[in-house]
Amino acid sequence: MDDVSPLLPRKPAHPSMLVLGLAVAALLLSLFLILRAISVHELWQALVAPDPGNPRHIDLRDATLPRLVLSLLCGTALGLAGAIFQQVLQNPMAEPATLGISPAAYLAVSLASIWVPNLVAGEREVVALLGGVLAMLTVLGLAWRARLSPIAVTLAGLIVGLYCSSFNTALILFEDGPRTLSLWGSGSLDVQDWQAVWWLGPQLIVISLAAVSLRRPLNLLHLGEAGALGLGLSLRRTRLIALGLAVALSVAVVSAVGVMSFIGLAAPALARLAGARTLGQRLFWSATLGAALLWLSDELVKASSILMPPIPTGAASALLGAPLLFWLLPRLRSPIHRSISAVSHRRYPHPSVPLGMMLLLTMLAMAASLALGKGIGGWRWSNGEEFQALAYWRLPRLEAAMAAGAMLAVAGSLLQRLTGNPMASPEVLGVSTGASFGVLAFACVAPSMTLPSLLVAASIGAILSLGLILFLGRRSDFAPDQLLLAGVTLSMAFSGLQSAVLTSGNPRLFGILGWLSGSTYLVQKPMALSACLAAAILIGAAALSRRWLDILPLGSVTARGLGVRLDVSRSAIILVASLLTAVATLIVGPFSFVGLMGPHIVRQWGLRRPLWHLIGSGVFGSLLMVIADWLGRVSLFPNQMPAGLIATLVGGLYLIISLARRSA
Amino acid sequence: MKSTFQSSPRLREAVSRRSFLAALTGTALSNLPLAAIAAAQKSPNPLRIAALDWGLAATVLSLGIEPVGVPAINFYNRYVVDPVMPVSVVDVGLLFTPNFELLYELAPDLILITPGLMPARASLDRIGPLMVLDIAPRSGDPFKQAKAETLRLARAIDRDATATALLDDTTRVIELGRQKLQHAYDHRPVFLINVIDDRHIRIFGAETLYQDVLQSIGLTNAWQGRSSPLPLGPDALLGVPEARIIVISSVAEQVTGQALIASPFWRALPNVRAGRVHRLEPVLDSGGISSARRFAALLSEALLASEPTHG
Repeated sequence: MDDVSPLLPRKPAHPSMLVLGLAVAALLLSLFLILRAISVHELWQALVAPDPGNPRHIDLRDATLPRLVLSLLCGTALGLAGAIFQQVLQNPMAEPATLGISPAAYLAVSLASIWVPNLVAGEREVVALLGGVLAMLTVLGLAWRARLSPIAVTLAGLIVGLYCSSFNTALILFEDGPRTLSLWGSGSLDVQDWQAVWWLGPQLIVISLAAVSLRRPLNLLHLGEAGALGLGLSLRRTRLIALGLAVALSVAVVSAVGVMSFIGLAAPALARLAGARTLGQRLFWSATLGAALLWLSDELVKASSILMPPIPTGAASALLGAPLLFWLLPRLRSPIHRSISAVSHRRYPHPSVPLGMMLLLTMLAMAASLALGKGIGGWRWSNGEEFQALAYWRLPRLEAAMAAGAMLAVAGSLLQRLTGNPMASPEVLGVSTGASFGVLAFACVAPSMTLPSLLVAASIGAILSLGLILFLGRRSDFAPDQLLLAGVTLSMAFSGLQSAVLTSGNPRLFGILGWLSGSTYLVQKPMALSACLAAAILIGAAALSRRWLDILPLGSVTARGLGVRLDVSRSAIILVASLLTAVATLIVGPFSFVGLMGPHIVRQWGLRRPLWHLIGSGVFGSLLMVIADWLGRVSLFPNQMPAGLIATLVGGLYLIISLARRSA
Repeated sequence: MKSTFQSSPRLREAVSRRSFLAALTGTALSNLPLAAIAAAQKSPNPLRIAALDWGLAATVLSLGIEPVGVPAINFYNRYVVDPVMPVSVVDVGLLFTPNFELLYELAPDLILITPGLMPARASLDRIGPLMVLDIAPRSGDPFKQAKAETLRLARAIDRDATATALLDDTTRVIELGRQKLQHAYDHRPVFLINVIDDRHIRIFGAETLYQDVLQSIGLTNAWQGRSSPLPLGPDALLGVPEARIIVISSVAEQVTGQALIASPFWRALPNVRAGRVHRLEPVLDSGGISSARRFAALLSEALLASEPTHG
């Protein structure tokens, strides 16, 4: 089965025209930028006989030119890696970043910098390779049971990538080494010498030659296992070797210039669109288009830095890549459809039993969180006067965290019912990300930030993103995995934006970054009370829609037959879910995964009817956040970990495990 | 070395510090309760000060008081170095998220914060009287302001004499450097930079503590205008090839910075090829008066030591 066939163009043009167009644009821009600094006459002199004493000559020879060559090399490597990944996995969305390889390689280097500072290029690459291979194995392992279906692989890859980025954010908050690396990690082609070029060039040549020699067996992959065996080929070995080569290419790029997404995705897609048909053509034109694309992107970034603060090339490419991913999404075929209403044969106790237990647990956790903490002498259980005094700080953050957890979990429950998809949640569908987009956009333009205005911005962002995701989902009739992919794509674009903010040096946006990681540190009584109030009202509204929630998962035909107005009911649920997410995101940041875990776990405990599920999710969500907030308070005492970040690290792990257990 | 100001916990309990604190909190919302603090000074127990910023901690130490709590002390030891932080001082968490509970337990008589911590003001107010000191403004006259704020703090905690001595000593160190450099230095302008990673540097310009000290010591900055808010490539140094480059040590250097120093581009810089690069031990630009003094001493020492080879 060839998944990529829908991408064939209606009117084939030759790829060389496309490459030429991009390259000419890049060249003109390069010349324009070079000639801003140096005259034509001097340019010639600098190229032929550079004067080591002339700074402009040094700049041209040791900064401008190597950067240009490096962009070509990295673009080639990424384009080639993307084409190999896409061929081996038969998946038009595979590339180093969506497969989680580059974020994992970055995380590995980041972690290494804590214990072994001052890695030289070669060592850095070994560490990066280790991270990249681990990520590839994890992703393949997660998607193994789904027979490495494109969607399963991409979903696993995006989640692994997102997890690695979150982990890295945590490191940046606390460690000097990773913070130092953040400029490099966000994808910077800024160089002042030819070292990176000499380092990357030979590797690229060797790997490309190996890839070309694999062209014939690779070409037979789409024949399927049986067909290839008939020709005397071991598909498995070919696949493994090819994947290994592509991972090596991706990792070499990461260790030289950091994470660059989008190129590995766009180049092969454009090559196919422009009429590259055979594998040989596709490999060649993907590599060339990759080079041209990255060259042009980098020149654009350089040109834009005349007018505004420079953004890392990698961050720019992540932002450019998101629309392309969205465009490719509907073209993916989804083999697996599963429904939330699948009948379970297990017998469960009455829902009030697990619910009662959860309530009891939550109460115990609250008491423990309020009384148990660390002090100068270590662990301490406070009571009496001390308890009351400490409650001034402990109680508001606890309340706010609980309200946020409950709201996220209830939003998750709503979304899972609405889409009939057990993996849907505000975080995975990108609704939380949308809320953060809103806040970040608002922070860039608004003179001052007050809580109500932030709330409005977050709500608008959440509603828009959920609307977009559901619109895209409707086209594939809410095929579960399409929805998830759209959401995770949105989150990936956002992490590009976030790293642009991280390196922009704008102190006001830096404050936002602390919030993005979900800190309950500054929560005070008024905010805690507003959060609880909002939670009560919105969860109440959600409960009112329980009849709709019962009927919607049965499908649109049944629902209409039962007299439910689809547009009204869906819009109402979308609105409530968006508002729940917006308020919660303001407290614990966008990536907590509580909205996924809560509903998921309570359903396994037998809370399946809509109202029970809703309430159970809410209780469980607040229990999770009580624990996350407490862990954030004590785990690195006296330092404070943002509760949202703890929830991400725990929740992300849960997401990966539950993905692995999803049987095919 | 134990400071004579440190008291034992038992002594503190004896004067019932809690009741003293209660008296303070009543006036905390106005400005600093000077009378109350003066009263504390007269008691046999010295002030328990939490200094929630490295520059403020350095200032408190150089006024002869050992603070009870300072955030991220390992960073202080790497960036500020001087004055030395006694090991008995409690680490109260990260710079912008000091641990409220720990601070409460430390029960300081006075909490010093920078304007950057104002968002946490309400929570800190519960713990003890607050004093906001801006010893490292991002613009204006940092050195002058650091002096004024140091004096203001000294007045509040009854250390006027120590503060005056500190300022005099700083002036003396700067003047000494100026005199020596006047005769022995070739008066080339200098770049003041930090290495950020293997490809980026930060250049310090006008309206920084470094620049103010540089001027007082009679030197000119090769970088025109204010510091760049964003990391720059070393090509930014190409503008003034005759300048000297002063690399102020940073932690980043230990991670990747040596790669920058080893890179061909760096070595091709005219200043570097002529050996006009000097490295300074770490010194914090937001570290207040004691850092200004340290910077003046390190700078004149580095420039004087290298001078004979480039006469």
